[in-house]
Amino acid sequence: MSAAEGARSGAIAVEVRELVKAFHDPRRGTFRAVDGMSFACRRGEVFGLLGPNGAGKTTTLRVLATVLAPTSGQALLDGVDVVVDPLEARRRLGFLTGNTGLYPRLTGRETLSFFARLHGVPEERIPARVAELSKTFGMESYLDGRCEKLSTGQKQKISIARAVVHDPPVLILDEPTSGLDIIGSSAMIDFVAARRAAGTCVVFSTHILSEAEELCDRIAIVLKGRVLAIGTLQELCERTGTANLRQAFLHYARSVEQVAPSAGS
Amino acid sequence: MRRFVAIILRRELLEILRDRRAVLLAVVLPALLWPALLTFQRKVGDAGRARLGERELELEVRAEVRPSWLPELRLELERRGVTWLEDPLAGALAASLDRLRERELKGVLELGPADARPQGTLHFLSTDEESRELRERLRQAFEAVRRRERDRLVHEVGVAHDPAAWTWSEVSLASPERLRASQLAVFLPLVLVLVLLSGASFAAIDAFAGERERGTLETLLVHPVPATAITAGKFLAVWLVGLSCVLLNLASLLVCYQAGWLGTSGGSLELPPLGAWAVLLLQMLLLSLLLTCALVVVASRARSFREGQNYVLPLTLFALLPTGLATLPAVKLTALTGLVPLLGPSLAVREAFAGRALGLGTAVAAISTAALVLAGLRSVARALDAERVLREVAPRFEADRAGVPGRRALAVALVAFFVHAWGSVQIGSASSGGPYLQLAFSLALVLPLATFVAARRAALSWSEALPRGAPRSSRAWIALPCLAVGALGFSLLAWRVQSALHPDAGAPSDVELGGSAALRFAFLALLPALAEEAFFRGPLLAATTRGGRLTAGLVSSAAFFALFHLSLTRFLPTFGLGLVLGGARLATGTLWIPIAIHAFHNACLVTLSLQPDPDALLAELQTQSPWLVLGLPLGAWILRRGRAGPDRA
Amino acid sequence: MSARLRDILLILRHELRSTFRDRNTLIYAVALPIVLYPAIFLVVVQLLQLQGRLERAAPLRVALAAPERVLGWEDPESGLELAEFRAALAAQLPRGPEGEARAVEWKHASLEEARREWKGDGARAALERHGVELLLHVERDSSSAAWRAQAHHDPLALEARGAASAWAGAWNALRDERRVAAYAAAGGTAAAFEVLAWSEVDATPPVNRGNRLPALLIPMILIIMGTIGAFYPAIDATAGERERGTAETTAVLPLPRTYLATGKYLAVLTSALLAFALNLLSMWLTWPLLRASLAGGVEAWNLSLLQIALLFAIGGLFLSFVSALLLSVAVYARTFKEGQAFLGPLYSLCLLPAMVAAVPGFELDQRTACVPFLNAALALRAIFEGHAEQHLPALLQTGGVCLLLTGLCLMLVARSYLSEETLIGGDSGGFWVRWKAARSARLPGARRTR
Repeated sequence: MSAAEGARSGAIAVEVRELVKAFHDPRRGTFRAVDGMSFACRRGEVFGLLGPNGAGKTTTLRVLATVLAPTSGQALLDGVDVVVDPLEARRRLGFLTGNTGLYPRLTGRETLSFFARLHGVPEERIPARVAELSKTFGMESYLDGRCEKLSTGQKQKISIARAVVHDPPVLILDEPTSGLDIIGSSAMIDFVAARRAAGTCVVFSTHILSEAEELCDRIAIVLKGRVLAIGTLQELCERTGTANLRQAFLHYARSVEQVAPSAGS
Repeated sequence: MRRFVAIILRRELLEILRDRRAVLLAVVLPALLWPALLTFQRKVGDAGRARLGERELELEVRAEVRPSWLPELRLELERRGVTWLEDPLAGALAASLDRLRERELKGVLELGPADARPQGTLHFLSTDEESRELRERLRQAFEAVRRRERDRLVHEVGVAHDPAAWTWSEVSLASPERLRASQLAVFLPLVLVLVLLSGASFAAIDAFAGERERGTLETLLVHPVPATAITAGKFLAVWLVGLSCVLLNLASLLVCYQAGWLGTSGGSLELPPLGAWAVLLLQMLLLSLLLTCALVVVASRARSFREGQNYVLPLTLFALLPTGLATLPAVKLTALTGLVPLLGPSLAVREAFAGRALGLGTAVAAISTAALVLAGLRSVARALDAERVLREVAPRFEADRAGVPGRRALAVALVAFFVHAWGSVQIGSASSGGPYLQLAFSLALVLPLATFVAARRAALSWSEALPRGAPRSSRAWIALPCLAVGALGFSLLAWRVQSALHPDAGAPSDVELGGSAALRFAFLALLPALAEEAFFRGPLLAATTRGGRLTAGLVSSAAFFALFHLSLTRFLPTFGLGLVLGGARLATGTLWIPIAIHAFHNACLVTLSLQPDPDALLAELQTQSPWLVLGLPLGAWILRRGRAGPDRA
Repeated sequence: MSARLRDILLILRHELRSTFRDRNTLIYAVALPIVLYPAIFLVVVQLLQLQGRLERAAPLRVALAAPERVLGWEDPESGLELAEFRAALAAQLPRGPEGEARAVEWKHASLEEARREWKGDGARAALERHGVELLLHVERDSSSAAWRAQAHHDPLALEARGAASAWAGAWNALRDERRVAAYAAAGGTAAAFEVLAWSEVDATPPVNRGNRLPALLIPMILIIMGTIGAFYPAIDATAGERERGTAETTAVLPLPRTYLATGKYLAVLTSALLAFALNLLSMWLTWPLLRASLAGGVEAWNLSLLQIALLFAIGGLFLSFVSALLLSVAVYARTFKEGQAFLGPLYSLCLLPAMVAAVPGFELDQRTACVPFLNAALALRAIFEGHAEQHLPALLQTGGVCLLLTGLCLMLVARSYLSEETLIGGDSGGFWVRWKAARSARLPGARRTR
């Protein structure tokens, strides 16, 4: 039994139903960044949202992370509705984006302790947890230096450690490898794989095909705020009759473009 | 909740304290800057005055008469470091004055006969500080001589009772220590406002805009902490930093004062009684909370550190105005002034130091400020509204293109304003010109030219710059009379407010223009309506409102419209009228409506000025003006209905 | 046009465009002078007028305790009746700007009350009971037979402060008037008593007569605002470019880097000069506003063409130095914030000497002309006051010092701007670390500057 099949049998950790998020702008009027999106992912599964810039990936993940309120539809995180109980949802969530910053004048240790406290980790358990993370990610040598003096890779590791400091059952990663070099992004890939093994549900967005191919158990192809297809890499290729993800994606993208003008008339 | 606030507060304070610049601003600057600056200023001032005082100054004396006290005056002057140059063979006065202008001499004293008493004339150079110093020494020396001379005269004629012995004494009912303290207290709110805004602005911008810029805000928002707790923690951090800045500055100032570095003699201070302290602390507390609210709201609107700084300057200027007003002795604490934000508590602090702690004004100030603080805290609580914060991305450093036409049109308006102001002054000062030439220059030359250039520079099409078609809806013509009457009422009302502020500003019916009635109507009603609307409501408004910036466009075009009237006292009425006219243009989509309103408004005022007793009529009209103003909402309502119709269909 | 000049102008144009699209620069170089001065003048004048109006509108309230006849001697009948005394005293009070008399509200108090109660807390109670700000007790001294006036007031009440000195002045003026009368009654003449008719004539050429006040104020403002005009562009041209991520793009342009540095420098200088000119213009335009609102007291100021030319010559030389100085420090900044942190202290430090120029006792001479900032402020003041031609050597020296310092700073700019450290160095370290690093590392192509 493959890993994907194993995941499929697990409990549903994240569920998005008919999600719509509309923005109102006095200059441009109302437009829908997310336009009726639905998907579900299970524990121990890595679920990828694949789409070009502006497809609505970030907005969806932000709604899941409770920072944006959905216009309509529902989003459940580990069974908790993000609108009904956002604080409970946040407790079960680790969130990381590619452009996450760090407080420049705090040390790595202080940063981790600060966020652990915010997550309500008991005070006496914090030092042990920080030491554990520091060992996992190999940060012992620079954990007590100020963040502003660290290199990009070191900052990235602290950011990752920050996201899992409370050991969340769901991890949401928004283009986590943007701006990282080969070593940085492969560390990220290793990290995601490790979380999957630990039974965490990982939802992540990307526009890089190779990452999606390598990491995701299932992929959702997203365009213009809608999910066009969901499936494993193999399923997507089979359904479109193409050889790889790139061609499958282009197939779906073209189908939308052909439909769009006729829908508008 | 409280735990989270404490966690956030701790982190904010930690970060601020670790920032060298913040610490510099908050601690080192007050502790070192005040003493250093004041000592420097005092030392330099003393040195300068000493240098000036030591200088030997040359005075040429040309005495035609020699009163008996002349040697005495010479002695007094020489004792004060003045060289007495008297040459009986001196040339013409003009030559001496030339030498004075060449600054070889510092003064020329002429003593000549006039009737019964000698006439003394001092020629000096007001632009030369040594010459001014000489004048001062001469005045003192002469005063001393005159006093002695008068005593001698009175003694000579034998006045039995010399009023010179009459005395004036003042008994102050406050100890000098109390007085000094209350004199300093007048500036207490000013120091509080300035120091808090400058000291805490760094913390506020760093905690809100800075966090957005660094990208840590989103991280913070996905933690299981209510956004209000985050805001509260940050707010407290900003407030504490501001407060500590204020305390440090006050302590430093007090030390400087005691040491006598403030240019005063120094001396001890007696603080007000305890009861006054409670009032004082409460007012200062409320004041600091209010300012922190303002700072936080402003900082949370900024998308980057730099943008935050741009917002703080205007905020400081706005805050300084009412606080500065409170230093004027004639502004008293009443129920009305107590209501004014910042002014009320500032006055209450002053009163508390003067020993009048309790009163209606103090209570009103405290209650109104507390209400404002509550309202401020409510908007602070919304400061980290995720929807807004995350959607507004950090600005690009080059301004976006949408504002370019607006800026170009404003630049044209600015140039036109200077040309118009210059021309008006030039023609006004030339006796031959007269007001008609002035009007013709501005209305028939400057404004049409500006209209043309602005439309060109802002790349507007003619139909865009000067929309001359029919209004969007036929209801505009129904709304027109209402709007015209409303605009007139509004302008009259604004005049009333303005003349309450400024009684000698004159009346709107003051028209210093001769000529026939027809000429007046043409130059004061028709021509301004056409020329001014064509520019201000034409390309200027069209360009500045581009890209949906309605408010900015309306305000800037109205401000220029008001500026063009070249009168500070008429700023308020003309600015308001500009807003109404601009609104009418935007709502109806044609220039004809504002032109009609403007012409009607001006024609009414001209008609008024032609009446035998315009002032009485004006007063009558002004009492009715609140009713006339109702025409504005009525007209707006008609227009709205007219616009809503096609939308629904 | 030579190719070199064309390249520099190209860069200058680019820099200027980006400089003047920056909001900070626009605010400080353009909007501030144009909007702020009229606004500040307007507000200050309105406030002063408001203060004056409020003060004049409120009557002086005073409780008077005095005998039936006041200020007489020998024969008590020679004195003034109480009403006459009140009128005579009130007539000596300072008048409003249009010569209008102050309104006075008199309250009557008995002599017994004054003698018995007007002490300490009793006086305070009397002030409240009568509803006045001043208690005036006028009585003849029993031993010396001289008239004595005693005023009780509470200086903590702000409105009472001015009142006490106004009444003291009125009393003294009335006393002098009575003295002349006494002298005349004894056979003297009022003319003899005056000793000397005094008048003062200002020999300043009428053109410059009104320049005294602006000469103290405007040079300082020009220096401060001109420096601010260079402040943001200097940061924008260096740290701003790094922050935008265009520093490297610019560095690989096929141009000698000295051209880049020159173009940037000229852009900074242009902005500073613009701020200087706009501030001068705005001051000139708003001064009449101040005069019109203040009704007398402030005179108009005039500048001859020569004065304007000299102002711009000295101002230009000074600003060329300031621009170079600010740029030579801003080069080390990585971010806008850092640029502010570097330049801020420098800026405030530089302004101290400029402030000295507003203090009496300092003049432009051979010694002061050597002190940067002070020399420019003093020179601008001398030009304003209209006696610059008398200081020609010192003026030349000021210009020379500015030029020399400009050259020095530009050398620093050229050296640091071309170093690896400043162009692509890391974020770590403070100003001094980077400064030292910049000394050692040079980029390829830097040599071409020679």
